[in-house]
Amino acid sequence: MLRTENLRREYQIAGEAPLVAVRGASFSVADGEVLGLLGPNGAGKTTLLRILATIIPPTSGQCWIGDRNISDNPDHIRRHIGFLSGNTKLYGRLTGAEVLRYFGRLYDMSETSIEQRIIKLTQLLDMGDIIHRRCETLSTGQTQKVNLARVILHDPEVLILDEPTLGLDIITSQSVIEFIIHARERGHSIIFSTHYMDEAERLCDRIALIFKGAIMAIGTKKELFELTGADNVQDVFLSLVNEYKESDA
Amino acid sequence: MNYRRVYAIIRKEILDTLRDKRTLIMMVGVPVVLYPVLLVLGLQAALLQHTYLDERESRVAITGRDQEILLEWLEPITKLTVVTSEHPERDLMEGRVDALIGTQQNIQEVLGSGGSVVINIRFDNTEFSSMDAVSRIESALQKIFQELRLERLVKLNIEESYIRPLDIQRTNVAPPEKTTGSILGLILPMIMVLVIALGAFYPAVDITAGEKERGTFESLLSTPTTKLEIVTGKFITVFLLAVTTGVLNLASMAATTTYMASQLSTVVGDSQGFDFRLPIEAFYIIIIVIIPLGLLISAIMMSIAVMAKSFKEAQNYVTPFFLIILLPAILGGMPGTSLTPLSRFIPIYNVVLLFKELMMGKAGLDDVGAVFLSTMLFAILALQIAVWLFHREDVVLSEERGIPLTLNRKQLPKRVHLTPTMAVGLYCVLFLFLIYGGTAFQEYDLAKGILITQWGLLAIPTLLLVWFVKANFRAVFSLSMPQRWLHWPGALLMGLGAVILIIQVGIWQQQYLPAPTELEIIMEDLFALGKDTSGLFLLLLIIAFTPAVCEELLFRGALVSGFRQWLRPWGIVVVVGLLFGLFHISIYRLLPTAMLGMLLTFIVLRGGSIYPAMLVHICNNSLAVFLATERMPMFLYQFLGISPDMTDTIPNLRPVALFIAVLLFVSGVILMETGCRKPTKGNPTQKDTKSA
Repeated sequence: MLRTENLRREYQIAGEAPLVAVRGASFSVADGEVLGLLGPNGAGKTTLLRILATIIPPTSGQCWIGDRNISDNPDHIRRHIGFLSGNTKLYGRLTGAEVLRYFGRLYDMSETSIEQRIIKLTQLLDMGDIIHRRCETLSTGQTQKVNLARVILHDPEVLILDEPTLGLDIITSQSVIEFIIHARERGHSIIFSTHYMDEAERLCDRIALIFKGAIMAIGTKKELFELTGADNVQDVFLSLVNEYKESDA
Repeated sequence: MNYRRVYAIIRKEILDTLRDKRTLIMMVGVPVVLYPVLLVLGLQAALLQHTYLDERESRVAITGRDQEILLEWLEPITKLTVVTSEHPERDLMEGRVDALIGTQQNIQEVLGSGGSVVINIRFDNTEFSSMDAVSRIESALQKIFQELRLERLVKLNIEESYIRPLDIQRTNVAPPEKTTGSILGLILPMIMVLVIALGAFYPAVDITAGEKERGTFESLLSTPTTKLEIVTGKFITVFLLAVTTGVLNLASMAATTTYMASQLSTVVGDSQGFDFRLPIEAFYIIIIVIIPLGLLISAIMMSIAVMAKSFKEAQNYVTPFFLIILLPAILGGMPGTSLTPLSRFIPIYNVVLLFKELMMGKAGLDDVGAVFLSTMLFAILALQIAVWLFHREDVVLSEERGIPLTLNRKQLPKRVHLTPTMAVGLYCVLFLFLIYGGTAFQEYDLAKGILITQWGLLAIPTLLLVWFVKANFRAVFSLSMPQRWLHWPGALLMGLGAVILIIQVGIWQQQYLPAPTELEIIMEDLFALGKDTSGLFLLLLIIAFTPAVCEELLFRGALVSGFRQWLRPWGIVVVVGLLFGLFHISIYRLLPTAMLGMLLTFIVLRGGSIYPAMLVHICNNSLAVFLATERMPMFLYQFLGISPDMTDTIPNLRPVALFIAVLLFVSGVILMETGCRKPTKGNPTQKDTKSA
């Protein structure tokens, strides 16, 4: 369970007015729910997800994972979070297994449970022997599989995935989507961002539409269609953007 | 701190680094393969050349008169052949003959009459073979000379000692290890600094900027690992690799030099009083000093490298540091330098001195302790900076936008304050102006030179920059009146108190670090202007008014403005103060001017106005003029406890004067603080932006 209240994030730029990247985001993601964060480039998706992953602090606002406030002890809260961004790479000179062992130790897992998890995740993600190859020799899709294994290695409550299918071919994208579906079945709360409308439509229980740092609307597909009178997510998005621009002007 | 996580980071980083070809080449390739190969090849070439020259017959032609006698003298010399030459000069020039020997005198006649025969040797000092021939001829003739002299003395019935009233005998009492120590003390520390820096270089760059570039930092930051644990793990890795490289390098050098020494001694024989081999104590000493050196260099390199976004950029940042650390290493190796209470605390320089003194058996445990402690302190400071940088998301997540690289003013946005990059850039450029332009102008004519430097090289470029980047003049230069009128008297009282205290600091400094008298002599000519009243006004204009305006615009205006986003107010006070001190390009003036700089910065930040700082600056510099021209009212001299004529060593100021100075300073601070708003860090507010 993840819940946020009025999250705001500003960036100070030398000699200029502060840039607001996230303005007042409030939403929640239940256990076993997938929330899609949909928005164009520069909408503030990455900043919002980085705040949720406690990589950067919010300027104001609150966020809870379970009943723990992430600002209280960010270092501790990260045990319950799995974070992956689209451009995340792996340590090229280490093998997949070595990368997983490294992260397992950083998540304070015991050596035995690390090894057990590696065997289990190798089967789950169909990684076979790629886990024993150096990451620099892996293809983009294979790299992303090892990355997914890393994200779920410590069995976190919340998965935060920032454009996990960015730049992947159809087959690998599909395996990422299957991974997300599997994680939902296991009861993880998942928030993932994308700018592929169809992906969001297919996969998410609810969708949050974000533009210029503001969440314009949030709800199930049906709710969003009702809200705007459109019959696909793309039209919902465009009509909300127009509305937002008019009210901003 | 979770040590298991730190250990996991170290383990991973070492594995990762050891699988990197670049690091391996630096760490293992260079010391284990390159040195021995280069040194052995070089040695073999040298030996070959040496043997060739040693075995080669010298060809000498005799010219002039009495050739038979010269031939008789030269004949016993081994490896020397006397040849006949039709054109001796030409043959010598063209290398067919190695040397010419001859005389224009009748040898028997001159010797018979008790005279001195002039023997000419002609040779070519660019040819080893020619030089060899000369030394062979000279050693042979020296024997003849001694025989002839003895013959004459016997004839006159004089003892040989009679013509040698002084028999000077030199004995070198330095045991071989001391000689070795002093020579090794000169070279080894420099090599050590170099190899450790070389060893730290790639790991430091790779596991900071390299990790950022490869896009793995975010994953690391999303784990429960704290920033301190990340920095500690990475730092220990860099340190271990640097020290390993250092040890490997030194071991390889030691092995190679030992081998070289054995080779050399078989050819040239043992050289007196110098032992090529490293004494065994040297190894303990190296271990002692390699640790602080490794800690410091690794910490600094990491702090620098983490600021870069990519491996390449980090290399560009770290390379100058290489050259900077070599300077103290070279200076420390110079003869005549030694560990003093002060030099114990100069980083790198102190380690080099300690090494040298340990090698010569001069340093004690307290020296080792002090050097270790101070180096550790600097290393911790550098690590603190690294941790601080790791906490900054703009540094770690590489989102800093940098300066727009455009020279088209139209494309630049309006801004309130300068950026840190602009401030640092301006300072560096003006520093170069000062060194190259200012010094030249001032050498030509001191008074005019100061005016040109201050207005032309400091003030105008500063104003131009602020105009060019479309910053707000009022905001950058704090061109508003103080927040409270109390800031005026507050600043003045603080200034007065501080000036007296700074004089006392100067006196203390003079006791430990006496300034050379040349400095005073240069200034004396200028102060001579102040003998008449109109001259005094001119002097006040040059020394008091001008710097108070120009330097304030640069330091309390542009630099304070640029650092507002970067640092907290106390950080700005320290940094701008230090930069102000450094700008006076004199180690003797660094401390007092830096203190004055900090005070002036404080006044500007506290009151939000540059004017009180200018006033205090004028007062401070005017006081210097009055002191130097001996125009201060007598009672002030008496109050301070100094005499107008300050040629002798100045005694400490009177305690009562110091007490009153502290009182003035404190009451100034109280006045400044009264009703003062909490100073903002200077992140421009919305209102500021609009006014821009």
